[in-house]
Amino acid sequence: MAATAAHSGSRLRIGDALVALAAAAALVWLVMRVEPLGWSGPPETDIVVDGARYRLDPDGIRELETLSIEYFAAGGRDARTIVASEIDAALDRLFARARQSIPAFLDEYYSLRGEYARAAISLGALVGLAEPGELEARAASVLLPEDEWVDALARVDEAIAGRLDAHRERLRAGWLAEIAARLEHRRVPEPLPGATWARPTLVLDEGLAALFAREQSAFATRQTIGATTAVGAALAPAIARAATRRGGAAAAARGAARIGTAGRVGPAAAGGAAVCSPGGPVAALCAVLAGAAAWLATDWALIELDETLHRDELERTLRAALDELRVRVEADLEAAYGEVLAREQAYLEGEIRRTFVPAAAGRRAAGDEEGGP
Amino acid sequence: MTALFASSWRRTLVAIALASFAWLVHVLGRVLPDALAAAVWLIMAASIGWGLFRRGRIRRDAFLGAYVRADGRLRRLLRGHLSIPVRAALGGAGLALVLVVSLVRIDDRASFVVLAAGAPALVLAFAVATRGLSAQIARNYLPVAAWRVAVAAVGGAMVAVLVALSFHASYPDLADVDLERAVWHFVDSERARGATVQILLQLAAAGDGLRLWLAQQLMPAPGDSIAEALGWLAVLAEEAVFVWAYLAYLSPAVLGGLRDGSDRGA
Repeated sequence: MAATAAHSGSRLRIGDALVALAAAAALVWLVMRVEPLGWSGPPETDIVVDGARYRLDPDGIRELETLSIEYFAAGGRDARTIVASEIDAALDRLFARARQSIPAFLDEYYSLRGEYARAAISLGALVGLAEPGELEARAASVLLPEDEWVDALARVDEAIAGRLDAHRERLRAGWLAEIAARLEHRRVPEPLPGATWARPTLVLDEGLAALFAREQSAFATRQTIGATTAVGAALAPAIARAATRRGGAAAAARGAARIGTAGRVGPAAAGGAAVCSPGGPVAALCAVLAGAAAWLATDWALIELDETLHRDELERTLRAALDELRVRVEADLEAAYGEVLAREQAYLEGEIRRTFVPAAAGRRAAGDEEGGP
Repeated sequence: MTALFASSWRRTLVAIALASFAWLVHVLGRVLPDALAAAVWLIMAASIGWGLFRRGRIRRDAFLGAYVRADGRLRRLLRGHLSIPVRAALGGAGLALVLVVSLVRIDDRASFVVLAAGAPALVLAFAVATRGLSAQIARNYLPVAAWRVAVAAVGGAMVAVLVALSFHASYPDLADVDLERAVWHFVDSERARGATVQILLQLAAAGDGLRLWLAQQLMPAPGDSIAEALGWLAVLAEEAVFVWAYLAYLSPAVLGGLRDGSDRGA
């Protein structure tokens, strides 16, 4: 009985030992074969702004995206205001000079020289020696000389480009400051070189610089060239219309008066001949001079009368025409710049949305790594 | 004596089971939610605390038996019905925290092989120590004495191997970076599902980063300087605490089932 118990105890001990050894072997096998499970956490992205690195989760990325879009949209509105104010100021200067030229224009207009210059141009147009509309073009050039106009618009382009550059720089600095302030609590140090767990990284400095460089080049093209051409074509008719509306009526009246005067040239010449008596060749020359003097005197009197009667009205008409032209030019220029600004704003917004999509950030970082050394 | 070794195989099984649980903590620690991680910590704290309590009671009983009369009032005051459990609970909680964090942060298989081998080694060392000391040590105090000898032997060997593994491990070059960057490098590498677990892991990683940065700043070139010695002493102390916590966690496998005098040195 005791031997059986001893034998049984021995078998039990051997069994325990075998189980213990098997368990130890199994544990070592598991240790050598099974990897610990890792936890990557939410897909975070490192953002590098102005040399500082920040760690953002997807919510933070969306927050930054919204902030950036709103910030640059406000910047776009400010840019429109800048453009509008610059155009407004430039046109103010340009049209102020045009308005200042109105009295001189009217003095010229209501003068014998102006009258006969217009008559000569009209006659030249009739016989083909002058371009049709040259009269109006000359009239318009007195108020808004083309070289001044072109130079002024070129200066507008330069001024706008300069102010937009400064605005972009302020916008960039403000955005960086805003980002830095908002992300301060998410700032992280630079990883060590070759850190295997480095997150996808967005270097916003580079992206922003590229965006602004693109915008800068977009505004390097003169936006007022179209307006220059358009204004050049539109200016003369607008001024001429104003000038000839009253001037045409007055000229017709003066023409009628001259016809009447011509009807009276005979008697005037006869009177001159009487004045120049006794007769002979001298008397004939005297008669012609007397008739011409009477013609000139009649024209001068009619011009003076026309000026007295219509100068103020013509001046108002010219000022109204200039105002109308100014409004149109201003609208054209603002539309031209507005189109570029809207295009750049849309591009910027699209780039921001594309940049801040975390998945895109991850893909970009992965692509960078694959393409790296 | 035969009974002692007969039970040693079962205790070895229990020790391997406990080591397997520690391995599961190592494998799954980063994906455990905080609640489960807390449960794991409680289990380990209970295991360590039980061992501390048991050894505390044995030591106290030995002290009282040797120095205090059985019928005196002082015996009731010194029996430690409150202080021993409180110290065991606090010690168990602290050591379990160190153990859980260290287990999760082990990053090489060799270190865990050392831990796995340490479990049966502790049981066998305890059995050998019990046998060897049974003729020299009073029966009531024998488990504590054998435990101390076993822990010193097995723990010393484990610490030596772990320090050797640390010595041959590769570390990032922190000589040219500032402290913030160095610490962040280690902190940033720690990720866990549970927020509390992650914080604990990152705190431990920050400690590693600080130690390594100091080591590389103070010891630019290997040599026999005091700073270098202090650095390696820090590593040694860290490993020693970890090993002590681990062996304390295994203590139920060694001390469990022992009844007062019945199984001690039999």
